[in-house]
Amino acid sequence: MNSIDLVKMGFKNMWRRKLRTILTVLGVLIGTASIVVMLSLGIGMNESFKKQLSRMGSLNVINVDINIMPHRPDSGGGGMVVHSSGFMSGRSSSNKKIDDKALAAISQLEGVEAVTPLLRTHLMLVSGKLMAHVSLVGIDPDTLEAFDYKVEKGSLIEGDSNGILFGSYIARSFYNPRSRMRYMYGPMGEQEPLVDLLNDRIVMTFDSSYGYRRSTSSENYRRPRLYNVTTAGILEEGRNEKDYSAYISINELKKMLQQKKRDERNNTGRSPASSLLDGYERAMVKVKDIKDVEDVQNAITEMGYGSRSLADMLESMKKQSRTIQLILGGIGAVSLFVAALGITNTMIMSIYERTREIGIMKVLGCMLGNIRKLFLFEAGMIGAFGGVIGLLFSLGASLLLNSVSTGLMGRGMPGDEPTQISIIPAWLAAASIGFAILVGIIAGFYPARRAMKLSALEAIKTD
Amino acid sequence: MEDIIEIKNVKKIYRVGDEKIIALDDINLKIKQGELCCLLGTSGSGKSTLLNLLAGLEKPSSGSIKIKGINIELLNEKKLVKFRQQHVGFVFQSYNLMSPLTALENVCLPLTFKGISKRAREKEASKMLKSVGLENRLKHKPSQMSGGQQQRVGIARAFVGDPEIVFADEPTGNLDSKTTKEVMELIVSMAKKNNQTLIIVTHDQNIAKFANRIVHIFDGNIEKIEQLNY
Repeated sequence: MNSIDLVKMGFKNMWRRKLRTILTVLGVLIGTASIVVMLSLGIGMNESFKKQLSRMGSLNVINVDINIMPHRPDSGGGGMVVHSSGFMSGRSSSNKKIDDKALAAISQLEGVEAVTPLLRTHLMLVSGKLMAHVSLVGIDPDTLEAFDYKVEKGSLIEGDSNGILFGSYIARSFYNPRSRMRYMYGPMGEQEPLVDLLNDRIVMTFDSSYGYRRSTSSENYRRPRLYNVTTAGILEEGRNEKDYSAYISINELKKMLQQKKRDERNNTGRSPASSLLDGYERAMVKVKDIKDVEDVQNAITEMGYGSRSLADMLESMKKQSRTIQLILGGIGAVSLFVAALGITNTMIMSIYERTREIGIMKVLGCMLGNIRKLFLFEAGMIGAFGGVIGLLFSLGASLLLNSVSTGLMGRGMPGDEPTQISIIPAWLAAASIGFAILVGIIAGFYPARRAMKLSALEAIKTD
Repeated sequence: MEDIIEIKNVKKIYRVGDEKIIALDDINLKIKQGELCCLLGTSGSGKSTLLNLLAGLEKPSSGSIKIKGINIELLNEKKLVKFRQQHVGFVFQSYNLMSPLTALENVCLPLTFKGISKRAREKEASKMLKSVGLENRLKHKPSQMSGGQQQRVGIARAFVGDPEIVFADEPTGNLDSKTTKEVMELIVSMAKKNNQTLIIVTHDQNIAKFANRIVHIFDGNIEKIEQLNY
């Protein structure tokens, strides 16, 4: 018996009992669709986690911060617990400052690509009548590339130069303090920046009251000095905190801070409480491979520093979504299992009906293997039909879910793709059809065997 | 003429609970190539059991059955199917046509199982249906035909592909006397045309008269063998 005849005969048999075939296919359809839709929700959830996190920064980066209690990322709520002792006990918290020795030790850890201390301070940018408050971050300029700083215009900070790298939104945050319109600028991104950071002359100062008339001025008072700003470049828009910060070589910033300290001592006659220079409050560690992030983070914890990484956040999010996926997939699997029982039942019924026919086929010389193949084919086809239609059905359902959810939740940031709560990747589509066929064949296995074993003599006996 | 079937000391015992039922006691029989042989006996005599053994549908309790030099009681089921496919045709009392298939498709069936291409087998099958006088019934389903017509389809199916041996189990059991005569004449003439061996099982004396040789079976034994020549 050649395979074309076998296939034709199989289809003919299925067509003979249309209603039953359709009902059985319907069962598989529901089973497949529920698995696919459930899994697609899980995948969609994972993707949106990833998207959210990548907006926050790179997954390979560990933030060491003395305001975080050292903890193990695998204990409790992962990296999401930020210890509040920094608040309670102020700067004198027992957490030790991050010094150069510690940074050197961290950079020796396996898998670490780059380490930089971070020093953050606030100052004013002044360009003509316009001003802007900016958070200036001191960073090791050699590590900029490793931490994914990319310039849109200009270049990164080179060596020990005093160039400043501006986040993409800073140009737009300038305002004229004397203008009545100062608070009335439109939504971010729509208005032309007032200042060309690369070409305009800009100065900066620690004096937050720069430009206002000073009421009390003692003789000794020395105005905070103005620094000329050399713009190195402007960063690409990243939709994260980088957009609002300016970056400078950490050595430059240290010099500026020392200067400020001297000035303050001069003005007030006492040493300021600020101890920014004893060490660093924060540092960033870039790990080469995302798999090593956990190990490196553990090592940093061993050293007594608290840290946070998006990777351990992602891990706990993933764990959560895996559990949800498992539950959702399980619900789908139950219905597919019921569908499989349906296939078996249909096939067994069909054997009862076709007992005589199978007997005749055997007597007329139909090979046993062909009989088995015929039944497996019919069962497999029920699975295949159910799988394909079920997949189409779930693609439709996924489309519907996504459009409804976009309607309900609205779009995220402007320019963002709408969040998809249900994603059906190609592998899931292919796997669902393959799985449905497999389920059909497995469900058809027992009936097929039974048909094959049927006694020809019993079957054709004249009653 | 050489012997195509050789039955030696065949015994068949059925066990029903603790009871043993001897269906065939001790059968010895040789059937020649091209012979028209009739197994005649009353119901329960064991004639149908003998046919089942010859067709390889059942295995003898002891003894041997040689067909074309092959001991078929030693073949496994897979080989038996192959054997039937190549050498044996069947005519059944209740026709046993496939109800969803047309006359043509029914006759094609044995050739389909042999793996013959659709065109070749349809050509062969329509030739066969023509020779049983059903050339204008090719596309009819069994339910659209009379008993006699259905049995003729059955005969065409049994003879298609030129099997050396054709078994007919009460081929006219469901037919009236006029049709019986037509059908028997048809079977005999077809077997004779190609020098095929025909083995008919019946309880009807009149049918037995169509054979060359009548083997009377009674209580699981061969009672007598009648040689008719015409």
